[in-house]
Amino acid sequence: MNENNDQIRDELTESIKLDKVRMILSEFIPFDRNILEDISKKLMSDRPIEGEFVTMLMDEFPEHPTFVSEQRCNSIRVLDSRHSEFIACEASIQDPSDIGIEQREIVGIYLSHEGHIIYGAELVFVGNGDQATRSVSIDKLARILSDLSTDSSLMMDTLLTHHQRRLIDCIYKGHSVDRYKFVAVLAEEIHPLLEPRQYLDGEEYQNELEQILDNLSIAHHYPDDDTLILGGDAGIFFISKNWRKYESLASFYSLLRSTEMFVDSVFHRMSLLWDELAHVRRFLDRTSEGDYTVITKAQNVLSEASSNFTILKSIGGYLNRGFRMIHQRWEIASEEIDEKIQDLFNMDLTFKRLINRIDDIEVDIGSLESEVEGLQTLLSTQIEQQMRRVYSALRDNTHSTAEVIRANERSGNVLNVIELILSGTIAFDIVFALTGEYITDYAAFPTENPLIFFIIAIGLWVGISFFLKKGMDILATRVKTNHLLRIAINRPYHLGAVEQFLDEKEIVAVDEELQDDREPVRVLYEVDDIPNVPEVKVTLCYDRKNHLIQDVTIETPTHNVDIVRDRVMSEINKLTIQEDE
Amino acid sequence: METELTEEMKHLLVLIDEYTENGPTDELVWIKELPLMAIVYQGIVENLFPDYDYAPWSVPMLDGSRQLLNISREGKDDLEDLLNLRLLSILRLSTSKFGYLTAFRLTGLGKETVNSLPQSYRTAVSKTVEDECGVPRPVIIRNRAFFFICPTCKKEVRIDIDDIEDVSYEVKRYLPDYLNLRISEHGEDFH
Repeated sequence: MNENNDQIRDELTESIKLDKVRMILSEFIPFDRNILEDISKKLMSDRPIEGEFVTMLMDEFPEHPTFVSEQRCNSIRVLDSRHSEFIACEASIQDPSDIGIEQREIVGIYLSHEGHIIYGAELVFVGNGDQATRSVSIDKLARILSDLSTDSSLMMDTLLTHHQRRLIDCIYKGHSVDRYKFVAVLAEEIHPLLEPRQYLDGEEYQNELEQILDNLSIAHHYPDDDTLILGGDAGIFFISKNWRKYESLASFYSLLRSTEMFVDSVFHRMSLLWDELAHVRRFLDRTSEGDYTVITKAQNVLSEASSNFTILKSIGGYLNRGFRMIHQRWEIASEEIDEKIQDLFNMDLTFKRLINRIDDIEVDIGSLESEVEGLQTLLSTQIEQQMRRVYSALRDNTHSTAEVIRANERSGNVLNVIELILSGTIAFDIVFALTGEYITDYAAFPTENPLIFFIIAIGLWVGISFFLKKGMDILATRVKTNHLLRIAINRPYHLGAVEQFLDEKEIVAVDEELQDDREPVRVLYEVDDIPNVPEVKVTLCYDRKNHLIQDVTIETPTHNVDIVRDRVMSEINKLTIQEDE
Repeated sequence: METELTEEMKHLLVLIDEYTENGPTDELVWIKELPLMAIVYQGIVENLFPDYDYAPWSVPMLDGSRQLLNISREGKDDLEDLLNLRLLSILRLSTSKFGYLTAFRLTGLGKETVNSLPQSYRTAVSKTVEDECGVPRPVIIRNRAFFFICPTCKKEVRIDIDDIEDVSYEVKRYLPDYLNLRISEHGEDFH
C-alpha cells in the first residue's frame, strides 16, 4: 500500500495531473417510451417527496411486516422527469470498500427514451485525510473511471426492466457489468500544460494519457477559448476554463463511440449465432446420413438460437428507432457548437457511418431470419420423416405382435384340447381303477352296464375338467400385483453421494445415456431389508453431469406402500442438498 | 519511440524468449498477448519492470465479453518499440469464436540480442516466471481468472491482474447544463 493509503501495489509515475474534473460516461441501452414510463413508476418520479429515497433492494419476504437493510445502501432520487421522455436522477452508490479506502459516490444519471444514457460525476477530492486533493493524476483517474463504469453498470442493472437485462446479457454473454463506456473528461487545468504535440511523445506522457484514452489520435489546441483537446479510441479530454461549452459535444461523442462498440458487440453476437445455426445444419446433415440421434440436439440448439435471434431482432429495432432520434437531437444541439470543433471530431460523418452500420445490422438480421426459418422448416421436415419412420416401424411391429398373439391363441386352443383329452384319460383311468378293470368283481360292470359306465366316466370327466378350471382360476388370482410409485425430486445432490450410496446396493440394471449437456443415468436396485416387505425394486434417475436427482420409482408387491416410500425417500433425501444448505 | 534498449525492454525480450523456444519438431511457438500482459503485470508487482505502471482497462475477451484487467500501457508501448526495432515478430490470428488475438516471438535479431545479454537478465526473469521446478510456467485463463500453472508439478498460482485496486475519492452528481433540467434541490442529506 502506498503513502496515500490506496491499495495500489506499484509506485505510480503520475506525470500528468488534471484539476477540477467532471466525468461523463455515455452509453446506448435499448429503450422506448413504455420502458421509460415503467421505470418512472418504479422510481415514483411523478411525486418526488423531500427526503424520500427509492432503493432498488429486493424484498425476498414481502409478507413480513418489516424489512432489514444495511446501514448504507444504494439509492436513487429523481431530480427531474418528463413523462415518457426522460428521467434525471442521482444515485448514491455504496460499494463496500477495503480498509483504509474511503469512497463517496453520488452520480448523476440521465435516461432518455431514445436509449441515450448519461452518467455524470464531478470529482470533489481524491486521496485520504491530509492527502486529499482536487488535483488527480491520470493513473488514479483511470481507477476512478473504471470504478464509476462498473458501479454505474451495477446501478443501471437494478433500474432496467427484465426484458432490457435479457437483451444486454445476450449481447455481453452475461458479463454486462464490464461493458465498454467511452469516457469524456472535462477539466479546467492540466499539469504540465504543454504544446499538443508534446503529449504525443511516444513515451512517458503519451503512455500516461493512453491509460485512459487508448491510442492517442487527437491532440489539438483551440485558441479561441484556450482549450486543449486530447482524444483517443477510448476517451476524450477537454481542458478549458470554458468547459461547459463542450458538454453536449462530450456527451454525444461519448455516446457515438460507445454505441459503435455496442454495434460491434451486436455484430459479434450475430456471428456467434451464425455459428450456432451452422451447428444445427451439420446435425441435420447427419440425419440425412441416417443418424437420427442428433435430432434432439438440433432441436435444443435451434431453440436456443431462435431465442437469441429474437433478442437480436429486438435490439436491431431499438437501435434503428433510438439512433435516428438521437441524431435529430444532435442536429439541434450541434447548432451551438463551433463547426471547426465538430469537424475535428467528424461528428456528422461518424453519425452517418453509425446509422449506415445500424441499417446493415437490419440487413444481417434479415439474413439470419431467413436462415432460422429455413432451418426450422428443415428440422420440422426431418422430425416428420422420423415420425413417419417410427409410425411405419410401429405398424410393422403391431402387425407382427398381432400375428404372435394369434399364434399364441391357436397354441392355447390346442393346449385346451389336450387338457380336455388328458382329463378324459384321467377320468377313464380313475373309473378303471375303481372297477379294477378285468381283475376285480366289478370288471364285468362296464360290459354289463355300458351306458351307466359311460355316463359315470363322462360325469367324472366333466367334474375333473371343472375342478381343473377352478384350480387354474384360483392360481391366476394369486399372481402378485405390484404397486408402482413415481416421485419427482429434481434436486441437486452432494458430489459423489449417489455413487457411494449405490455401491452399497444390489444393482439389477443400469441404463446410461451420454449427451452434450447432461448424462441421465437410471439405476434399478433391490431393497430387501424392510421388515415384512419382500422384493422392493427402486429405480433412481439422476443426471450425473449436472449432479441432479430427477426422480425415483418404487415397485413393491405389498399394500404397505407408505412404509416402503418413507424408507426409500429417507435414504434419497440424505443424498440431496436441502434448500437450507 | 525508444531506439535504445531499456532495462525493461531487455527483460521483456528475455521473457518472450523463455516462452517461445521452438517446439520438439522445430515448429514455431508464439506467446499470446493477454497471457503476456498477465506476466508483465506480475513482473511489475515483483519489481521486474520498475518503470512500468498499470491501470484498469476494459479488455475484449475471446467470447465477445469484456473484462477489466490491470494492463501496462508502458508494456504495450515497449512491445511496439521492439517490433519497430525488428526484434519481435507479430502474428495476428482470428479465432473460432470470431475474435482476434495477437501473438509474439523473437526474430533472429531478437534472439541474437537476447543471447548477448548477461545471464543476470535471465535470472531476474526466471524469478517471476518459474517456480522451484525451474521451467517457465504457462499462464492459463479459466473462468475469467488467470493462473500460472507449473507444467511439472501442476501447481497453480493465481495472478491477480483482474483485481482492480481502489483509491479513496469523493464524487458528486454532475449532469450537463445543455439537458436543461429543472432540478429542485430538496434534501441535501442524500446519504
